[in-house]
Amino acid sequence: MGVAEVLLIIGCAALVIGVIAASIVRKAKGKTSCDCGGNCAHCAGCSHIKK
Amino acid sequence: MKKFALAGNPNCGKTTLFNSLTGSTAHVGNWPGVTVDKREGVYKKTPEHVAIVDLPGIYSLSPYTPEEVIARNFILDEKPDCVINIVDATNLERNLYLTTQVMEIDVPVVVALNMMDAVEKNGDAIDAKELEKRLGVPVVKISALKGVGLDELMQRAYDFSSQERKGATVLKDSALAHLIGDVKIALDGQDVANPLFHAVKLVEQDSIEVEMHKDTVKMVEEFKATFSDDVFGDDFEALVADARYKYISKNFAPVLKRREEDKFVSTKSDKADKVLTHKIWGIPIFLVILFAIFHLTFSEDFLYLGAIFHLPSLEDLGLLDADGEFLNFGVKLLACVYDGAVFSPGVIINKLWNEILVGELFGWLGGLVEGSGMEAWAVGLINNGIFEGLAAVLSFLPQILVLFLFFSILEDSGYMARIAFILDRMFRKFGLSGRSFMPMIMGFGCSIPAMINTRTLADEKERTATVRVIPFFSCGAKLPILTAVAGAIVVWTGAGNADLITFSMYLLGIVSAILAVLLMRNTTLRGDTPPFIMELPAYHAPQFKNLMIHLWDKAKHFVKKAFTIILASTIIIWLFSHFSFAWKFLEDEEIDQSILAQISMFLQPLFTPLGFGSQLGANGWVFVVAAIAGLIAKENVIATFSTLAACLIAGGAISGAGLEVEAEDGIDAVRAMIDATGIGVPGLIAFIAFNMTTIPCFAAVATAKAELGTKKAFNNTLLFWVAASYVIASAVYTIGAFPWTIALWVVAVAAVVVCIVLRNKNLAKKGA
Amino acid sequence: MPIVLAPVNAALKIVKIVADDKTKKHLENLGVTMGGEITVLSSSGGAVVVKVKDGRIALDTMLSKKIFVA
Repeated sequence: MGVAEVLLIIGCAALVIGVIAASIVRKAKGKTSCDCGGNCAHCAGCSHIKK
Repeated sequence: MKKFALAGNPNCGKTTLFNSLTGSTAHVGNWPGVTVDKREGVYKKTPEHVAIVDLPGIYSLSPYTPEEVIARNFILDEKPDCVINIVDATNLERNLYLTTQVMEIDVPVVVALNMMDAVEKNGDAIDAKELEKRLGVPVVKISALKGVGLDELMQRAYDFSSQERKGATVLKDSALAHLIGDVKIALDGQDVANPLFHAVKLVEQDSIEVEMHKDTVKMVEEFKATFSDDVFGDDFEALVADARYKYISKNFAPVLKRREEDKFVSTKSDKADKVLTHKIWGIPIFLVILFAIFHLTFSEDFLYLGAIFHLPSLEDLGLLDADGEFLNFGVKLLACVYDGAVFSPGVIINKLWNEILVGELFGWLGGLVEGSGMEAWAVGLINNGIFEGLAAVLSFLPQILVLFLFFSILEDSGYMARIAFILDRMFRKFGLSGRSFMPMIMGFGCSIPAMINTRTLADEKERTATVRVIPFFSCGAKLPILTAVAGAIVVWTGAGNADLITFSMYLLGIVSAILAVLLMRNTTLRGDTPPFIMELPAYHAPQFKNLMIHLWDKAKHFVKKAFTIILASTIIIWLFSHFSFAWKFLEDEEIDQSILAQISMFLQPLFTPLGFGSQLGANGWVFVVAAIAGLIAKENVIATFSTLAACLIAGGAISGAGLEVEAEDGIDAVRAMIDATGIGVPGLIAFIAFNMTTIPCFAAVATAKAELGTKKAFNNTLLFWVAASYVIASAVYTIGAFPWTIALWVVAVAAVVVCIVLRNKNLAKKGA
Repeated sequence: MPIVLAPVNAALKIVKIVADDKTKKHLENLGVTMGGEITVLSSSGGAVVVKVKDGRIALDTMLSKKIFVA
């Protein structure tokens, strides 16, 4: 296995772990991926917070 | 750096103003504590740069919606140097209602009279100088759409922001003026900042204030016990609202000089509405517009020029070589625009993007990887895993954006609000409001923009129900499954009509969606459809710059998803389909030994009621693999059949004689599957039904996750998709294979309906 | 009379609103208040489009029966 393959494995692993980690961090911060621009009445991401 | 906040009603042109002021410096963040996006940017033309914060669009500073709370807390706690209150001059009185509340806070306020051009066009005039005098804060006429008056607005706001300003109220003539004064003095004594604003809100018995000033609220309650108004009783909140409107009508409204006083003039917008929201013509006109949008986006025969004039295809013109390949790159480019018919703009953009840009780019990259001398598995991972996955996701981009552009135009022009209104009555019968029509119909193009569009739905439960059924409106990527399987059935049985099968499957999807919505709205997502109150903004031409900003946001969001969560998922699926449990790399043709195939064989019995499980014997797992591969992108279903067919032929399971399993239409690949497994027509139809209604592609799942907001709603949605597809496909298979089972299904459905009706009656009784 | 029965293009006054607090508040924010002026622009099968202040507001059948004008 050459350098290219090792880099590929590291890259893929980093991406997968990164995505999982990012979602955990977002969740810990209590954020959802809402981007309604503050138009909450029309946004489920916001309206559930209210309750 | 100074900090200004933009506050105003929804639809008052606030976002347009924000975009014009901040341009490229705008960025999106989060409001602290909540998940509402916060738009911020910098204005650079004042002596000192100014940070601009776009507050959510609000009608009032009451605590009823999160937007209102955010705007209120920002102004009170973050203490911006100035609040720019955008007022829609065409609806002056209503907009000034918010102004009177903002002015009660001790903060410099500048009023931006927006849409002055529209007012002047009507022949009306507003005396801004006089309004300024009466309000006691600077008033600047602007047109955010045309960029008029923005520099003057910012200059005056900049100058005014260095002054101290004490709150002022318009309630000084009302019956509650004394009470407000007393509460204010009490709060002043407690060193509360913004005493006037808090005093007024406390008198309104606003829930946040009551919580904050438990001692002082007693003053209000004591007074309330002795007070009664003829009209409002002791509802102080309504009394205050009424007093505000009365003051506005009496003191501020006269600055508006109408062309013809005391006579009702219907505007151009009203005249347009007479036609567009007409009892009879409203819906047909809407259907024509909708058809035009789909024609412009998806039609491969623009304006039916090809069919009408019998235009020659590229082959007829001799532009293809003997193998049916394009003669040169020029012909390839031409083929994106014309082939026997002129393509519609949406298709042209799609073809240019996919055939030329994405196709060539990934083809070139793939060639580089193959020539790099890396090991076979690494080449496979990059080319078949990563590149193919990315290309599949990116290939959606042009049509999503084109569809989105059209729907943004409808939204910005004000027509979307009318559509919701005319369809509301019909949709109410299913427990939805008129607004949910648009996302559903967009689902025929692609589920992703459709799910994003559900943001226009106000009620969370209604929105969840809509997101869930959107995949049932069969999207463009599911069409190849339909045509390939239907085609194979027709070739194989020598009877039937492929178009008819395809059309019936679309119909099945729609019926399933209606039934599913009815079911959900009567069980898990029960709730009254909220009363329909909707502002109908005046029609106006959408602004190009705003549309582009809108599209850019969407594209950015989508590409970000493609390169993170979707890419990661693609890598994992590739891993499972190219490695055995013994961790040995497998060529494409050895997919039958892969982890994915092993799992599929294990799961195969589960699909027996659906017609593609245990009854198919040793090779039956192929349908399960294809369905799982379809989770990445529905295009993969037929592509997987091709791979599997090649694998089965190589392994000697079937002869493969006379079959072109690599053909793009996938018909022969499906026939190979039929040969290998002996599946029947009911099983095949059930397979289509399953793929149509089950968990959609990764991109759509990621979108659903973002749009649904809560983890719980998302997990239930995944469960719903699995359950719905299982039940629907079982029904299709059993009724098709054993017609007498229809009786069982009827009984089962009747039993469920009776149970739900009884339970709801019971609940209603308890509630009452 | 409920607004659903009101004549078109005539200036009317709101005398009574029968609705829950949340709906009432929303109507208030849009300018639909007791004693306020309101004009029916069009009325079709129970749903109405009204002009309040200078805004156009669409109301469904349910609500148009609950707002009383004189």
